[in-house]
Amino acid sequence: MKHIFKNKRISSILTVMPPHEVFFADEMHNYSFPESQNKRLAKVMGFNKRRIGEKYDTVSDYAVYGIQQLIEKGVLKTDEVGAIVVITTTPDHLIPPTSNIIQGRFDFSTETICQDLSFGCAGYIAGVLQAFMLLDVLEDKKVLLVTGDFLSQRIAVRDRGSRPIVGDAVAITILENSKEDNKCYCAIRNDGANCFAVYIPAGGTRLPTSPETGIEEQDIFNNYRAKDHLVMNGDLVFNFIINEVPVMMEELMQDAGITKDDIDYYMCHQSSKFTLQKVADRLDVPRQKVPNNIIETYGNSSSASIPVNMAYNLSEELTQDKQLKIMLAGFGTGLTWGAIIMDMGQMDYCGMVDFAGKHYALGE
Amino acid sequence: MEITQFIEKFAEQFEETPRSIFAATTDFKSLDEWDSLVSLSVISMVDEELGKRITGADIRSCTTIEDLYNLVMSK
Repeated sequence: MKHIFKNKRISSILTVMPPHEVFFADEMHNYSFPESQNKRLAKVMGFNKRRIGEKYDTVSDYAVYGIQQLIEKGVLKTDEVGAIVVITTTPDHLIPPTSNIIQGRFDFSTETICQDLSFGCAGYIAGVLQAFMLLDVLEDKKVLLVTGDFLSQRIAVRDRGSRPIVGDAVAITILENSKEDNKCYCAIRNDGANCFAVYIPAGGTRLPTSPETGIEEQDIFNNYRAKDHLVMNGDLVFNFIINEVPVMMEELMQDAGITKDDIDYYMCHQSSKFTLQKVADRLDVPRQKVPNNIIETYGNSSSASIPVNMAYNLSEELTQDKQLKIMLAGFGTGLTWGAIIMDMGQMDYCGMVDFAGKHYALGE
Repeated sequence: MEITQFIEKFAEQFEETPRSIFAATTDFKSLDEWDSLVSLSVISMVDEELGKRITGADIRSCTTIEDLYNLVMSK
């Protein structure tokens, strides 16, 4: 099934990155594997350096800093905001919603719609879809979409399956109704039967955090993690990505009445270099059209990875006076996978900044 | 696909291990180079070459390349 939206645009993207950089080479000793294996793995999967948040970094602090930057640059006016949508699996608190925290830091109208949604690596697609639906009723108001996670805090240091890829980041995307006549094609799919392929066992109501849930245990691959940590069934997720994602992308192109040559760039969630090369090969498109260099530079930042990918690789092209046909694709926990085909370009702003803002105190 | 061709494709997933040591009776998980990455490459190879989906658990249940070949062909 496809969803078609008319006359929508992404007008700005700003990604807020943690300044702290870590290198795979410095962390290799944490994994109980021979050095030669680790080096080969790094080459194939694209492990090099990543950006990691500090303890007590929050999605709202990063988002507030980014929104302040957009206001100072004149890209955003506070009275234009009709909705704040926050997509994260690592909210500041269970109560209140992170979107309300962000709203309260600015002079935004009390009529601002505030929504928090829980999505991981498919979160950017879910967020853009949500923003499009809101824009159908928001007229000339804009949607502030905040996507991102601080998942590094929930991944075990000695888990070679997940630790070498995890990065933290928060992205702000401004979406608005466009005067241009255009169509955006969206698809989103879910396979809840495999929802535990990526999960964190403890910390919710089924298994509250306790001293026991913090005890690290060895798995069959010699990785160590606790029930407080994220656990990923790597080969199931890999099968899912290389099989389901290209099929969905091809079907969406058919629905949109275009072919793969019409797409200028496939901007995918940054799972790993290896999986993205496989996705490109399955689609039978040149690998250069499917950028995969975010893992080795910033890490996999979950729902922020697609905007990080766009800001890092396409900031010049997206702010020029031309339109590109872009396909976005996200996939991850849920299992959820989604894609969007839309025209992009002439953005007011597209860039990255390192976080240099304020850490608010508890209850402040 | 014949087993000889399967062994050849299987061997291609390794970078350092010499081709000559791969045979139907090879206990592949005991090879120095065997790891989760090679396992993913094998899953991908089986998918691409034979259009069949296998899991990491399928691979772990096999000892020799012939075991894996039989398992794949029975799918």
